[in-house]
Amino acid sequence: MALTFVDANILFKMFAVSRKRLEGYHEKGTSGSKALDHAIDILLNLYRGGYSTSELALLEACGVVARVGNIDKATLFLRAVLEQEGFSILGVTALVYPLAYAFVLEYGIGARDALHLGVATISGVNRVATSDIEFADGVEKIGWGARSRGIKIPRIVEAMYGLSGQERHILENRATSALSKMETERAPP
Amino acid sequence: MKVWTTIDRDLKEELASLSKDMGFKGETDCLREAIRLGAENLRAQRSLSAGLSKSRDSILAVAGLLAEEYERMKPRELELKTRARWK
Repeated sequence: MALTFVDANILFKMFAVSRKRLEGYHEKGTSGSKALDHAIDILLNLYRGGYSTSELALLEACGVVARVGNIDKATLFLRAVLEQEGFSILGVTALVYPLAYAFVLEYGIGARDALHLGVATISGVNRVATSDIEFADGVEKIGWGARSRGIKIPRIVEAMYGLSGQERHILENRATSALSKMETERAPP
Repeated sequence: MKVWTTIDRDLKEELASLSKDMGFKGETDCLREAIRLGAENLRAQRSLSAGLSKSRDSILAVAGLLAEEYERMKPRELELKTRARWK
């Protein structure tokens, strides 16, 4: 089953869709904003399943809502996301961390992007939707690396987490397989 | 693996449900992962928001919650704000 990871910025935009914008989308085919049209497309299909975000992306989005809005809005936001049918919240499990370190040390991507991609890789995601250019570039760079030379966990990270050789091998294989096929969906900013 | 012929029916159903919910290609993949990580870990992931009742359009129910905040933002400001806490 296809599973798309929805980044924090798109998550926020789903809540920026007013009734008026939604009416415009239904009547004219556009809400008047490409970014919101993209968010609406996802929003209207969420209940069918196949969409996910991570508890980390959700926390990021909550943080932005609390800062640009207020704490009450952040709580409403969190509740609405958690209660939405067909929208999976992926956990940040222990195995995400050695992968995230590998992405940072091997590809030089940011910590945030590395953690998001680690969650997506471990959780069976095959498409990452984001309006963040750096994140999309990072996913494509690592996807290319996975196809050309495979994902490798650096020895220092293997030692740090006490991974056995077999565990490292399984993790590398799973990450290589998932990231070789990972697609990006570049949403309008 | 010949596990399928020996495990009981309830466990088979639980495994099928877990495989589907977690997005595994097949039950064998799920079983391998369950053995590696421990089934409790997988169940915890699946039930991250299971304590709350689900509704089809809970996000649409609060349509426009952040419309004003978003309209005030400059292009790419949202992306920058999301990243800001990580730098």
